[in-house]
Amino acid sequence: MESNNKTMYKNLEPAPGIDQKTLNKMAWRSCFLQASFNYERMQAAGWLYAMLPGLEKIHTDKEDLATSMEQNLEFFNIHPFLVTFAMGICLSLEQNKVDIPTIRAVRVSLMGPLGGIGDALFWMTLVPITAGICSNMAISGSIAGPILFLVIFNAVQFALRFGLMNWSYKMGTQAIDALMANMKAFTRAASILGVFVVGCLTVTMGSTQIALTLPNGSTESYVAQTAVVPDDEVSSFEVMKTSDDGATLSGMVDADGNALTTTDADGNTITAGAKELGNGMSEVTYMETVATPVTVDFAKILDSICPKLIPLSIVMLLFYLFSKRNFTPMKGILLVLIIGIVGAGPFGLWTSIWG
Amino acid sequence: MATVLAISLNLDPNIAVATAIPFSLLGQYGVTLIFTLMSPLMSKADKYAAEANPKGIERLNYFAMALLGLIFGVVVTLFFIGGATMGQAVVSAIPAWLSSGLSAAGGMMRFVGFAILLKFMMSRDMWGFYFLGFGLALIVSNISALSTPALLILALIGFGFAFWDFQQNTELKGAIEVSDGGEEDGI
Repeated sequence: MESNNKTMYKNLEPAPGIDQKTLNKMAWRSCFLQASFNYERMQAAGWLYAMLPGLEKIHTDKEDLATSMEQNLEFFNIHPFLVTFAMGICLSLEQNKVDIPTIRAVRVSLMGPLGGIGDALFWMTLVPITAGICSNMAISGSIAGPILFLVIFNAVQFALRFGLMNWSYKMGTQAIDALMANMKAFTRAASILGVFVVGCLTVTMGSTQIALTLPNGSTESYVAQTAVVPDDEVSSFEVMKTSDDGATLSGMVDADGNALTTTDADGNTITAGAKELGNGMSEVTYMETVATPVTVDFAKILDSICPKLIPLSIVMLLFYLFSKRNFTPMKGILLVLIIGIVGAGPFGLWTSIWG
Repeated sequence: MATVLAISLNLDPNIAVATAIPFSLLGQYGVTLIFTLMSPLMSKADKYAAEANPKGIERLNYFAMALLGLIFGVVVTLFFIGGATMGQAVVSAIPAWLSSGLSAAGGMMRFVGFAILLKFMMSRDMWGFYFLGFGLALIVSNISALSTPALLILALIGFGFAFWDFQQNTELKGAIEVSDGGEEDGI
């Protein structure tokens, strides 16, 4: 992966503009964005697949094409319907042979905002409204309902795909002259946003949590009991049982003769004591000691230090291994796989720690 | 899946959904498995990229799609052969530790992607921005009203920082230098 560390393309001559046919082809290919979706790089290979027609036109030098392909194969995840917006901008940057860290930073910083917009636009606006109307049609027996839904949904989707592709490509090409003048500052700013977005993604996409609970002794508490007994037996309930150190285990009063109290499930205070019922019987409320096991909730402790500590520490560990220990991505994946399986307690050796 | 069931067996929609659950579970397992197994395949993609071999990338994508289709095909076929009870049997034959371990690993797999991105983008003076993003994301994503547009809000904040930095390095830099009479520690 040495070529990944390159910062410049060999041929720095801006490539001629991408023709409409290629742009359309890229927009079509963007439908396969999720083709080889996987947990490591998510849509990376699909993204590269969609970018390829343009990249092949731009990078006539084979080594440059390899460099470009490698950097376009890094982690990528975006809203599948809005991907062409990012494609157009990145394509214009590639076409002008902008240095690679800038292209990478722009691509990464686009990952964040588009996801939220896309979901709000599609799953929370377009789908509920059109599906609501069309389902009603279907329920009342119209076959046009589901067909209409698919037509509307796909019409919007494809209009956005092709429209965004052309628009963002044009916008990128126009903005590039202004950016070229301050390239260094722009690269730095884009990297700041890129690193910032990765920090955000660590939280929003990192759901790994340890649900480990460790037993930690037990706590003793009083539970109120009532009984109806003859008046002269009430005194025998005062202290029914004491432990070795004199604490009352069950009864009505503690070692100093004060009434025992407890709180019930609703939070009301109950005081031990006897109430004469008038017919020679008394209702006695006495306390019984019950031991309840106490557990230490690992996740709670970690979250009280800082939430999402597990995702953060795994990212940091992997970052260290990749940058300082020359780990290949493959080794990283294997490590993660091992951590996952071992943590889950293979063959039922221990209970899974994953929450 | 529930659609196929409901139509082919003329089932009540509610029953169809219930019978489909073991199969949707199976499909989910299949997806988890493939998304995990596809991760190592990315090193193959890296090789194609290093060789500047677009055809290789295309083949890889088609292969992955075919594989996913195959898994779903197998699940559906299994249903037609064995019925709902068989689906349940297959689901319970998969040990819990394996599926729990795989899905935990799957959830962590993206950190590999993050770490590689960081490897290329990180420099000594960028760490602050990583933790800034981390901290702000913790706050924003814990406010339930903001959880859907969380990333957009965060991107706006991040854009603000980046844009301010850009201005510092371009327009404002000149202005400060003039007003400070060119003193070096002007900022």
